[in-house]
Amino acid sequence: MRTIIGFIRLVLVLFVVGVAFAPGPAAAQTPDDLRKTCVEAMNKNEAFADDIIRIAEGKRAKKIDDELILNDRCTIKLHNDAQQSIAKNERHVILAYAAMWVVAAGFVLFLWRRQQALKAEIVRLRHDLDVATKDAK
Amino acid sequence: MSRYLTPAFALAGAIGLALTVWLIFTATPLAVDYTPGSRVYVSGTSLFYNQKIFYYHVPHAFMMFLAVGISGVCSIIFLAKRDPKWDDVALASAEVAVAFGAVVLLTGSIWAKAAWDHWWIWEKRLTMSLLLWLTLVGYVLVRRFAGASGERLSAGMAVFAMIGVPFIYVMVGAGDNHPKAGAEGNVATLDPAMRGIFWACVATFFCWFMALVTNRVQSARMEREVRELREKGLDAGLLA
Repeated sequence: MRTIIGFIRLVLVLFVVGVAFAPGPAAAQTPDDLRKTCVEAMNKNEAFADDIIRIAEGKRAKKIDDELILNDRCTIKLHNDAQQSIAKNERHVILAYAAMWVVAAGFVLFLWRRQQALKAEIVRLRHDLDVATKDAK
Repeated sequence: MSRYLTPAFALAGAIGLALTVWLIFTATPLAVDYTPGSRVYVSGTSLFYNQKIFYYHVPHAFMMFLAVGISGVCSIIFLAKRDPKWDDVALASAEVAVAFGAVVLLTGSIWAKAAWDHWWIWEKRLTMSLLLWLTLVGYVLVRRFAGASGERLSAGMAVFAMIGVPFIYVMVGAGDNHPKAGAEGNVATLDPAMRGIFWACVATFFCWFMALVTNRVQSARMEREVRELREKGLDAGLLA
């Protein structure tokens, strides 16, 4: 029994000592530190450097592809919009047809008014002549 | 007979207008630029839907040329025979030509804005058309303000205007920028889907033109009657 208690004591003492002298958590590394670590690792190991370069180039190529696809889509949309605008340009067609109708209506109105005025003038002149002829007699 | 001529032409023109407007917007194809070996449309820049203006613009130009031709020929006969009935027809045609010419210039200008993004450019055909129209306006002004001598003076102007017409027509295909109807400006080579409706428009505006000319001739005769009644009254000393 004493042996067991002694063993437990020893374990506890070792635990306390272990906790007391254990190293603390590692200090947080800054991006500069990480970059420096990475550069040093790449300088030491060419295969590691090649892997890093390949991954970085792959990421850059994908970014460029995405931008080109976006630009293409914008260009196609602009072209489609322009084509639709020209293909369905109703504004000028309506304007032209309206201009024709306005001129035609104006001319017909002008003719009608002049003809009415002439008819009235003829009736008046004939009446005046008849009256004047009767008076002369 | 002549009493029913104007209403008959006006009715035919009205039916034609309703029919052609419907056909233009439902039955004619959308125009694309002419390329050799393909379907023949009206060539030009950015036409597409704007080409619908063509169906009214060109027949109006045809009627303006016809009116100027009639006015010129009647003026020559009037100058030769001094018969006033020819002068009445010449005057009526010239006034109608002014109205049709105004439509040609207006619709052409709107088309130019749609196709070239300019209301007006000093292109050969446009400039000549404007000069012809201004000559016709001059004819009407001379008739209105030049008094008795205006008849012969304006008859000379009508002959001068008539001579200008072939120059305008020949200019299409002579290297100008004006849109060409069919290949080399020949409307006979229009796409069959367009050709029938185009000629229906020409027939419609011919009826419209005839209605206006016959009506205007009647007015011209009434104006002559008014002048004769006044002269009669003045000669007899009955009117002051």
